[in-house]
Amino acid sequence: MSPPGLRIRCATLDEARRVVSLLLSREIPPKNIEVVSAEPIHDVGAAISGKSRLPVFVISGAGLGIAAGYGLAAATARLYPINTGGMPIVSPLPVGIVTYEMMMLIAILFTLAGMLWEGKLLRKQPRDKTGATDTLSDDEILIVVKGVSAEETENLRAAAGLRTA
Amino acid sequence: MSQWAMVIDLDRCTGCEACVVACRAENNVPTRGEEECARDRHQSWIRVERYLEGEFPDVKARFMPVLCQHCDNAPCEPVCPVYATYHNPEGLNIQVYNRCVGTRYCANNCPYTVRSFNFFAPHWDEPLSYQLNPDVSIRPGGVMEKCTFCVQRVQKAQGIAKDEKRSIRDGEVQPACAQACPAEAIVFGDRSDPESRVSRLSRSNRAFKLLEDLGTQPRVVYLKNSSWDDTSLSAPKGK
Amino acid sequence: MNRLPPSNKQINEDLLRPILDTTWRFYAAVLILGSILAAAILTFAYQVYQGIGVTGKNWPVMWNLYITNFVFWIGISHAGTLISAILRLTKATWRRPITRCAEAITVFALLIGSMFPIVHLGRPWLFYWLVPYPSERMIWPNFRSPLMWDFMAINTYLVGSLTYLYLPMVPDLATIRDRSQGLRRRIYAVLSLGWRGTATQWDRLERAIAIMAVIIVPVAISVHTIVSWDFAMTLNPMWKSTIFGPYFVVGAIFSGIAALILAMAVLRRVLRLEAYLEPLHFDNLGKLLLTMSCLWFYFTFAEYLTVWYNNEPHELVVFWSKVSGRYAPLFWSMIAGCFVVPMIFLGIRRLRTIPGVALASLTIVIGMWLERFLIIVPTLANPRLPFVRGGYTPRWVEVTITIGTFAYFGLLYVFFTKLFPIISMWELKEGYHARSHTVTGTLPVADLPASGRLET
Repeated sequence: MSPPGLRIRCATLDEARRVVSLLLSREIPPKNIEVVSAEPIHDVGAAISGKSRLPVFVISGAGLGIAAGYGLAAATARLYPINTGGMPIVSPLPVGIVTYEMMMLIAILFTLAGMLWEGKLLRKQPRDKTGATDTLSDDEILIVVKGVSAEETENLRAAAGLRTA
Repeated sequence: MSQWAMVIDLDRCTGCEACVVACRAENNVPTRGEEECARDRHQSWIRVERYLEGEFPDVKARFMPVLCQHCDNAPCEPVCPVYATYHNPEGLNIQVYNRCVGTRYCANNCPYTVRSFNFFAPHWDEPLSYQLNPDVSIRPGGVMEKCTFCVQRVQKAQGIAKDEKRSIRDGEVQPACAQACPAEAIVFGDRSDPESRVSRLSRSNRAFKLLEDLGTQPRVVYLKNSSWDDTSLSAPKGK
Repeated sequence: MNRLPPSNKQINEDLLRPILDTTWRFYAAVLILGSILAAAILTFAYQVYQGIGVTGKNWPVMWNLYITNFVFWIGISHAGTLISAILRLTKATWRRPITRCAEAITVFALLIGSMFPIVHLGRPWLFYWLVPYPSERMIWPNFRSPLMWDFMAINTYLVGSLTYLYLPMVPDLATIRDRSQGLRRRIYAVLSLGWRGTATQWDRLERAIAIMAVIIVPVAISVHTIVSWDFAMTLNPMWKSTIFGPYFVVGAIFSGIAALILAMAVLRRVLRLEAYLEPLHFDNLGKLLLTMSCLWFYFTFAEYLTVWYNNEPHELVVFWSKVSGRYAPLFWSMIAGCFVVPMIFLGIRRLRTIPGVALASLTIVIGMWLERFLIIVPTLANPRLPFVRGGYTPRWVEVTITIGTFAYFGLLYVFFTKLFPIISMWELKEGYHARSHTVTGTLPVADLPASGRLET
């Protein structure tokens, strides 16, 4: 069984920032630190969340959308060429409009998918036996540090001078 | 392949509207009744436009039969979202009744306002229902319709010509309006044949097309009434 | 801001109260709006059964109240995009209480607007032929038609604005989940997608919202441009105008902001949100509305001036029918509602109070509805060949359905405020804390070595 993580409750954002910077300075890898809060804390988030691959999702969605839009407008017109008003079977401007809209649509859907993927949403969350993790408290911020041994926990507690959960 | 076209000689047109009646009879165009017509929902595939000039007793009337021009660059065709109207290789603007969903965009885009819409399902009291033409389908409510150059007569003539292994003769196909006109003002035929009546008549120096500057390239050529003196007209006030 | 900002606890309490407590006013609103909507639905069923002739549509005015409503509602839907996305992108701090309200307006207006093309069809049960799917007839829809561009654009915008409404709502849904029990807890647990509020999730969420804000603005602009091209792609006098794209986008943003102000004014009173929707917000939105009013007037003036100056007979007929003819009362009401009244109530600072701004917004919404009507009907009533000129009088069928859709909008909003917090709680909290601390982007250096850099 993995060592029990260190759980720290902070009352203000500044306290949370202080604790996280302390943890990072003790060379605890960022992926072992989890900060649960009711609002985003930007510098903490920037420090401990890794590189985001959302732009990759969006760009690939846009590329797929361009192909789909072009296929929809141009390929379907070529499949069944019908003369309407002397206009060309594949007219560049209408095809451009449909391509643009499909590009945006698929990019939006891929952004949503990327958000769900990278935020690890839609998964069965491991229920923490203490039950406290799942409650977003109003004013408190919860910091969970995984993979620290009991000795290191003591050191950290002493250094930070915090009360523990 | 025939390229159908029509010439209407306005010198000969008397405004009698026999063409309107004949078209209605041939193509099962619904009669909507007094109340619906008062709501501006009368339906006719061809109408005789009548413009009056002058004061009594010097009143003059100008008559112009206006029907679907079967434009080569038809503005009504590209705007239909479901391809319910298109241009066939023989130059006819075809309306596909069973594909029409009734957006009415084509009617809005027609500069000649020749398209008519079935706001209700058509209804003929007995015994009028016996006089319906079996060659022409009845359009349901919610569907757009317009002049087809009597495509059923064109197809019939094409069938007969194919059986007899010949091409269609000039004057063999006559739409109902051309057939009924007592003054023979409406002539229909194949303009790809330079010797057909329509080709010869459209080379006349009285020839003009309606709203030609819009670039729709209509296939109906009008021959101007030589008694119309356009220079004497006062400018329209636009009210 | 010299007042102390409310605590997180206070924010939660105030904004969750409408959700957790149900008063008699909710039921009354649902009853009234629901019955108006039911009347409209029955009327529509009557129209489908009898045929579209029960409306006032005729030859040549084949598009009237339904298309007016369609363009109007799609115009209203631009509220959310402008406020939410552009203010997010420019990091305007006063946007925070307004964004969700605006985004909700967008989604509902789009839902209603996209319903109208189906209502106005002659054979509405066949509307699915506009959907591009591989049919057994091997025929696809005609993508050269502006109506198909409408279809694509509106659906894209609907998906985009639903996403843009939903994503920022996830943390708030999690807050509700944590405060509920039983069935409500399970429902909100599903809706909040298992949100825990970790730093990674917050980071990704904010990135996703920023990306969406960048995507949704061009989509919104393209939507109303394409709707305007339904008219501009025709040959009709006073429709065949290249200015329609920008003109309609400006008009949409204009009417959208007005609708937003009206919604905010109502919510502020009904849900007792006076602490959050402050006079500052109405003042700022009022100034934005004034700018849009001037822009709208500029475009309208440019359009009418060129038509009048060109002296082309076909166009002048339509022009005069609007300015001094049959449609003149509506036209001048529109000018009064969209320009004169806003100038007074938004331009004079003393009158730019919440009631003043709300009054100006009401006249603007009415005026913009009239503007859509006046774009559509006079042109169709005066086609190029003078013999077939006509007119249009609405009948009870389309009037009932129009009123029903306003009730539908109200009903959707009532349900939304019942189920979801109308002000984004986490953004409010973030905003209050951002004001009291400057976020420098690096962690405080209290326990770090003197170099001040992070050691990771």
